[in-house]
Amino acid sequence: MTRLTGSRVVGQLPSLLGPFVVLALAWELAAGTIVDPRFFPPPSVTLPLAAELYIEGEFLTHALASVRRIVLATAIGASAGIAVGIVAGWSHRARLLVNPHLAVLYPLPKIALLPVMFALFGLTETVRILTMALAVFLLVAINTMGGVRSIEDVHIEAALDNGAGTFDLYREVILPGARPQIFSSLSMGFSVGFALLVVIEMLAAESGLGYVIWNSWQLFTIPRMYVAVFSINVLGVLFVHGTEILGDVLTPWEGTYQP
Amino acid sequence: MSDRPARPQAATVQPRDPPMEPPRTSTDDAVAGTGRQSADNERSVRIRASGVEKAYAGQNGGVQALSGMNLEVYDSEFFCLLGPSGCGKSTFLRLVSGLLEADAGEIDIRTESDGDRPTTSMVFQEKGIFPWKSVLDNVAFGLKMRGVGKQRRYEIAREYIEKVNLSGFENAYPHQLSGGMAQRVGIARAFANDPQVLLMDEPFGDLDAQTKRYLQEELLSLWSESKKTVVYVTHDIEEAIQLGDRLGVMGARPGHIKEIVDVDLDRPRTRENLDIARLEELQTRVWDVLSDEVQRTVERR
Amino acid sequence: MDRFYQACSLAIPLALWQLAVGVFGLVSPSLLPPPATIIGTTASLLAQEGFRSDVLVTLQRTLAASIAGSALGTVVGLAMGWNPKIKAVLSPLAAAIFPLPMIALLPLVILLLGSTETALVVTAGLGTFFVVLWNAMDGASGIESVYVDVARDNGATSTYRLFREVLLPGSLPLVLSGLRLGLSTSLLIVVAVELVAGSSGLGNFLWIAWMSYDITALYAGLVVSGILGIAFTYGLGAIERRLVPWHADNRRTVVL
Repeated sequence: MTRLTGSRVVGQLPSLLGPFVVLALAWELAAGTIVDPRFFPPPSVTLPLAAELYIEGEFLTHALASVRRIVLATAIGASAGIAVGIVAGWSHRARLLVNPHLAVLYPLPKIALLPVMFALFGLTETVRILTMALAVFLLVAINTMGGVRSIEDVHIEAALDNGAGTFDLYREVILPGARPQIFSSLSMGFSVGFALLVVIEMLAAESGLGYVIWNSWQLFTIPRMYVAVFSINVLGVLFVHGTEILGDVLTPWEGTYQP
Repeated sequence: MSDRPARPQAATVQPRDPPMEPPRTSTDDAVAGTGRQSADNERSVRIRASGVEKAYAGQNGGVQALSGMNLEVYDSEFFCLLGPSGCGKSTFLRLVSGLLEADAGEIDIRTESDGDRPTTSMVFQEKGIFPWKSVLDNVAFGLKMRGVGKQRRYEIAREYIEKVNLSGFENAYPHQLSGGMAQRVGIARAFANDPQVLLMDEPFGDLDAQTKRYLQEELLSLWSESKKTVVYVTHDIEEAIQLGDRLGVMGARPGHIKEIVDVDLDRPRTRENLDIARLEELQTRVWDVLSDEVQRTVERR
Repeated sequence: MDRFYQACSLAIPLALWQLAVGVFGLVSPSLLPPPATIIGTTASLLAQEGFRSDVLVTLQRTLAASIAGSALGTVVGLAMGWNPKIKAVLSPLAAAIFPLPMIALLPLVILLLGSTETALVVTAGLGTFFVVLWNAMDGASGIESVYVDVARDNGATSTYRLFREVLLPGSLPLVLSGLRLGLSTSLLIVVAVELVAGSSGLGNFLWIAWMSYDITALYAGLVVSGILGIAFTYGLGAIERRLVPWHADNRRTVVL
């Protein structure tokens, strides 16, 4: 979905950062003159506060709780999704079996699953993670399946002709062939995962950055809320775009990454 | 427009129309390129390029694509521009079409004040037809851009779709067509535009040999009906000799005309009609001019 | 024949579920009501005025948010994809904000706009905006330059004509899949916000059912939101096949 190649990130750092510096300066100047600094605390307020909250406060704990949830959920969802996607992409029968379920579950707003899961299994960390994992699973499974199916027959024939066995076929042709789509679905999985994470933490958790946002709102500590929002944003950028860049590096034949 | 009836569809199509060129007084022992034949000198010049320069901005400085490019193309002739890949022949075509502008030098195209016929129209190498338009809309596109009414432009488009033997595919989308069929759409569009000069950028480069031969014959037949000036870019010596009245052999980096070769073979150049010995002579000759160019290009890689 | 197997793949587990819970009582029906019960509850809920208005409210909010967000996202995205300068300025900002779940901005938006109702639609609209923006941008920048050459060679020289004949149709496939993603993003955010802070809508219905531990109602709410999601995704998919019949992807079954 998003294309932000590694070379662009490294090579054009100044032009990438430029708009942010301009935005921060504009914000700083606008606060107190054009906009209300209570609702829009300028960077000179939020940046020192962020340092304070992370060094002395409880923010590191919350950030780590969020990271733990998103990493576990993605690891579970992605590994199951890749496995199911490869089998369903490869075998016509498996596809007939799996496809209807994916097609029905995929468009479901995953948020609606939350109350059901919580009501059935209680407000446990496992339920939080599994709900997020399901969303990642569906994205990764469907895209991996598409990736495997898009592999050209001639590549498979070439591998078989050169003596590849079943295992070699998976390692040498099928996995690399589906890799671009796997990575782009992982990146999408992270962005859907973060949306669920924030809702879950707002609704039903006593830790995590989503919880801090909700809690800050209740307490009307707006600068603290900004720090939490920015923290989630930074995590989101790291995971979502990081996955894309990693995908570009690991698929050099796509030509999207030039070191 | 020619009022000749459209060529009937046939399994083996050969150009039936008599050669529209004034018959050349070509004799078997004439040596090509020894000088322009007198008949050519009397003909009016349609395109005149003089001292054309064109450079591209590249990552490691610019690349000089064309330098000191001089060329005259006569009215109603089929001119083939031949050269190794990367010699700037496509660039020259884009300069003639106006898609690119030259850095220096001039390209003059003598235009006739003939309604609103476009000066040039191009047949592109591949992907030259819009995937989001049906065959009919692709062929009618240039007419639509010139404000021809819907009914009239579809009428003209249908006429040319028939001429390139695509009747029945009017509503098909490009992804449903083979490569050869797609190129016919491009050719039909260019002829439907009725330009004063037809520019062709390796239109058959990606096709298999049989399809290529077949389309070449179709093209020659359309051309001889319409008396258009054609500039045809190719890297295929055999194709250039099959099609062209004259060849401009280009040298590379920067691109320029190395030599002009007259193809003094009678039309139609069918298998029975063709002077094989002369053909081979011409091929050898062009190859001699080209080979050290190709050598240089390959070594630079 | 394939369709038969696919139907079986869905029907057999449902039948087994019905048998296991409804007939043999292997699982407590209060935890996992049999499908027939869920369908019955959904039907009777849909017959109630109150539930119908909840569904309708969610539907209205989703559509309002996605129409506004998509319209703006398409315009900005196409401009970014077409003009490298606009892209150079806006894409770092958009790339940075894109991974932020818009729901995290909800309290701020409520604070700014005062009304929860407007904030709800704006938040969902923002989510849609960014999804559509990326797709429109990729769609526009992915158009091969030869098509611009072809159009210009055929006399399409004005900006409007290049837009109408090349930019718009060329980016339409990705714009449409962006709209599809945007619509489901919008639904997700609307239900989420209703769940977190709403006083009406499907999300709020789910919240009340959860709080009152009405498992069957929870399942019914899930079924209805699932139907909405499926209708959006496949409805737009059908429109897509209509609008871009020439697109290669429409000949394969591709989700996303």
